[in-house]
Amino acid sequence: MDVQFVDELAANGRTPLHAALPWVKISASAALLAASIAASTPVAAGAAAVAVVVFASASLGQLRYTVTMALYPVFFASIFALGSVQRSPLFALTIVVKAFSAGLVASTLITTTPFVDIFAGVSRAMPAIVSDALFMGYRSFFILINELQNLLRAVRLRGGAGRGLAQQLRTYGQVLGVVILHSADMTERMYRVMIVRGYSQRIESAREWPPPRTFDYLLIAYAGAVLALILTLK
Amino acid sequence: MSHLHIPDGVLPLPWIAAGIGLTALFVYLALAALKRHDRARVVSRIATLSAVMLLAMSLPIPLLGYHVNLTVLAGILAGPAEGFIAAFVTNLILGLMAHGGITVVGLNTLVTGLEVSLGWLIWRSLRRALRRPFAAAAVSTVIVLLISTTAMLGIVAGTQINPDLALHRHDHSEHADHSEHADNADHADDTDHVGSLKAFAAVVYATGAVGWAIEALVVGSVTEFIAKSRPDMLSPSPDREA
Repeated sequence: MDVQFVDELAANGRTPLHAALPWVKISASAALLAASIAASTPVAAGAAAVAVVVFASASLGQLRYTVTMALYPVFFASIFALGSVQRSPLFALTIVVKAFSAGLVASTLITTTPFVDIFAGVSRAMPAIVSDALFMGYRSFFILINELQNLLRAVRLRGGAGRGLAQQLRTYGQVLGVVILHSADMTERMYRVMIVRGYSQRIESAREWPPPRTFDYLLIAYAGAVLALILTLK
Repeated sequence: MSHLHIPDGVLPLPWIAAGIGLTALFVYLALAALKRHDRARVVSRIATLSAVMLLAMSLPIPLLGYHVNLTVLAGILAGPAEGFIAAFVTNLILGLMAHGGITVVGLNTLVTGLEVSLGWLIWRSLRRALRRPFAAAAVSTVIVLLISTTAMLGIVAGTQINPDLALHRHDHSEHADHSEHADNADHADDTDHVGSLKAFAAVVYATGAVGWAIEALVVGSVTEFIAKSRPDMLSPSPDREA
């Protein structure tokens, strides 16, 4: 899971899905996710999967990466399906296909929509402390991963993490320890910045969106139609 | 295999709803426990804690394909209230990354929140009994992960994910008048479900045991390093006791 690359794709991509309004993509993704989950037969699961692939195709060249991301839940769905594959192969297949569809919806959304926009939507339904921590935690992640990469580079330049897996894990543990110590300092800095900027109740996000365009309406209509179709097949 | 990794579409809706409902309740309780604390400090601490857990989960260990979670460490450093909210934030970001289902964020948070809370509790008990922070943290990690993996299996067992229930429910209702046949079929379903669960549990415990050892080694090393460099971070302060 390369969060940095995902963020890069979402922020700098130039595809029809990137141009769509965030709330439209979130709504369409929610409908497609519901369709993927509601599909209870192999036919319905297959139809939902095809519909999701068509949706994801609008991200053009990124499709390959989003499909790769969607294979991660497929692996874990396969573990679940393993127990029932002999008794009912179709059920096992349905579980795996549903996991793929749901994973592809999520990966398409996050690789075409900046996290700030997704969080702005999600955080409206959450307490202020949680939504603020969500924003700041995601931001902090990128600071810490840069630091971790620098430390790992330094370890490699000084001869590596040691011989044997146990020694290497201990070295990586110490490297993580350094990052955690620095994260404690970062917490203190963050706290001071928040106080200086007058933080009291909530970090406000006052972003205004342009009116929906034809593609946005099409996206919503498409996702709604897919959900209706899957519910009919059910 | 600490958090569930269950993809969307596998668990029944009542379980998903129960997971979200219970998580909302625990988040509310955690927020209530933190109410008197400095809000800016709480937010900044939860944010960096979430970032550290996300960082650990985004780095697969070469060759093994396993990633550490640092949930026990989060419990050790932050306590159950801040740790639970940080677990929720981390799971929400991971869910949006297709790393575990979005609909399973509730159940995932319950399991990781359990790890955070138990990690805090067991660490507090063991650090008095065991002198070395490494040993106390490593043993706490193994115990916690064993319990949380069993909890995860309990969820899977409780959901009764059963092929025949999902695919042939209609057939059963059609033959409801043939009660004897229906009873036999139900019995066969139960037997199959137990068999599937045993196979699944065998896979989970076998792969999990390797993961617990790795996690224990890493958490132990990190804790020992912190104990040498910044022992104040491991000392329970009133601010972190919630």
